[in-house]
Amino acid sequence: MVLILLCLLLARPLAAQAQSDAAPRPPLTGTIRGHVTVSRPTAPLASRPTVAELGSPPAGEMPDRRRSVVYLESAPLGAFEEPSGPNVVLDQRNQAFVPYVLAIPSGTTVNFPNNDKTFHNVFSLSKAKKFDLGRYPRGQSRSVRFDRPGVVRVFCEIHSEMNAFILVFAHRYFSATNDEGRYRILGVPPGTYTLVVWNDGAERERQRVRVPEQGGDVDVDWTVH
Amino acid sequence: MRGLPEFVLRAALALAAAAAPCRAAEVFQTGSVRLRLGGEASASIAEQDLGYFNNQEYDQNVLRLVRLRLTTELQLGHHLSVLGEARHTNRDTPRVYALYVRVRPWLKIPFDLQAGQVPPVFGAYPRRSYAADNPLVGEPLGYQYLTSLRADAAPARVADLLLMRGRGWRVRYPLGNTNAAPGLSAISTLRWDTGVQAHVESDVFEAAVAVTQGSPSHPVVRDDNGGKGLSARVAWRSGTGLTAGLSASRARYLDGDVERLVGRGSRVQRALGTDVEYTRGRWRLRFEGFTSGWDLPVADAAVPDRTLTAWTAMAEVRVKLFPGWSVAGRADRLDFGGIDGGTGLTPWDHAMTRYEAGVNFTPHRHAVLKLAFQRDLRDGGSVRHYSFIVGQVLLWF
Repeated sequence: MVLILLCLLLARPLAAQAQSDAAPRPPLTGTIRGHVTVSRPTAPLASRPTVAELGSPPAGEMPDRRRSVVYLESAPLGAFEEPSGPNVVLDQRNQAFVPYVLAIPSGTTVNFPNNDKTFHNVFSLSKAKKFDLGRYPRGQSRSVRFDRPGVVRVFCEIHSEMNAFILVFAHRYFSATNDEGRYRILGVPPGTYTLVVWNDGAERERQRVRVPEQGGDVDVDWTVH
Repeated sequence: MRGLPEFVLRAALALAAAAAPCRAAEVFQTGSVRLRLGGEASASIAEQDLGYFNNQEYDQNVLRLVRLRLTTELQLGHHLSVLGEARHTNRDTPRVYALYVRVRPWLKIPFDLQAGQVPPVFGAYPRRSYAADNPLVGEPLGYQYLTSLRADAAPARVADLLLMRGRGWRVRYPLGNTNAAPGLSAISTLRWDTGVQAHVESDVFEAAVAVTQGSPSHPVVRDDNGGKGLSARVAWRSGTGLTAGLSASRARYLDGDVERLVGRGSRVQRALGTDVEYTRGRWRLRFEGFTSGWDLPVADAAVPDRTLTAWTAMAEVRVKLFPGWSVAGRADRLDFGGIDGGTGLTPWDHAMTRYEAGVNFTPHRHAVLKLAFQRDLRDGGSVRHYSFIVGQVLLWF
């Protein structure tokens, strides 16, 4: 009897070990990373001349027009089944949208808090998402869920210089550049892809990249003219 | 201002029209020197206005207008800007509409001085008379409708004045300039006055005062009567979307030659007004009203040195229905005080009522299509009422 019990106790971990050996190993993936240099002049967006004003309107924060998004033009199978992530924020402060460029997977909800002293009226007439949040004051926020991939141009109806881009992707293989122009696309399965860099309203460059079977880092630097 | 080479203005306005679908243009920036351009091209079409209800000039009707506007702002450092606007309306010669310098003495204090042909201080509408700011095509009566008063001509008798009632588009009087010409609107948005103004604001409070050459109904580039006009406005802004303003103005309005003809000293326009705006969510409500009085001596009036009065009020609502779609409506009334020519008090001009409602479609950030219905009612005159369907295409940058 004792022998049987001993056999059973030993058998469980051994079975587990056998199951572990039989399970498919997670595929190796790579990281596409690099730096985007924007060489063309990116003057700050201008508001309309304030000819009809009785004085100087408050100067708004200048959007960072060097901010770019690097993405895979076509994603590997299975990439479209990712669950949508948490809400993200497109802030309104100092009469500017911050960040100027937001990249999100479809299904994401974006919050638009107003952290300015004045009212704002966020809206978009883009095909990918048309919305108008109406006017709301400081301390309030409105939300929009983006379900359709595409480029969404966001404006404020009251302040002509306020605008931003939201890039909505059907997959998760994209990355917006940070303040230093660096990007990193994680977990890319081995294969050959077309990589695209987008900056300030348009696709600027594209090139083929190959993530090797063994995974690892693939460095791709860009200079956007 | 008309002396500027016409071809330069035409070329600049053509550039504005061509660039209209684009975003605001920053022509250059070098250090703290920055030049910006903006523009607006609008075309309005309606059937002929037989009652001249919407005329701003003799041959310029708000509902039948092609207008190009080019605005520019040259920032010279952090303290000084030069701002201007040129306009080309229908087939008229392009004209400089505004040209002034703005000085901000202290960067951290929101206090500005402006000198030149400056924006009007009185009321709220005159500073947002751009087509992009107007949810309808027509303009409020108090800022557009031509009364039978003129700055360069005056009636000799009460009968002369009463004969011109309802004929503000083409007024003729025996004193001063005896040619027929358009009358004055109560407050003009057609041109800006020349002078100096100061403006200060905080998060909740705003105040502006201006000393100018002309008057609210008769802005001028060159002084024509040796007098100076004074205008002021104070406004309060709540944090909840409510803005309320009070305006006042006092200015000599009659041309100096006419003043001498009618005698008994200078003639003054006095105006007092209020404006309220409430905006929240999809709604925007605006109210504006003012009263104005013009000193005008008429020899055979029961009270010879009489002040002719007018008052006006308008309420406007705009509601956004869907992204890119909105509807708007405005109700408007302009009334005139009485003058006694010996047969009892009679309004010195025919009162006007206007209703306008319309829909706006914005297919693109920089393009607006408007379709509106306007109904005008006048208490007298050869054409007492008329209805219009009016369309407008607007491009701006």
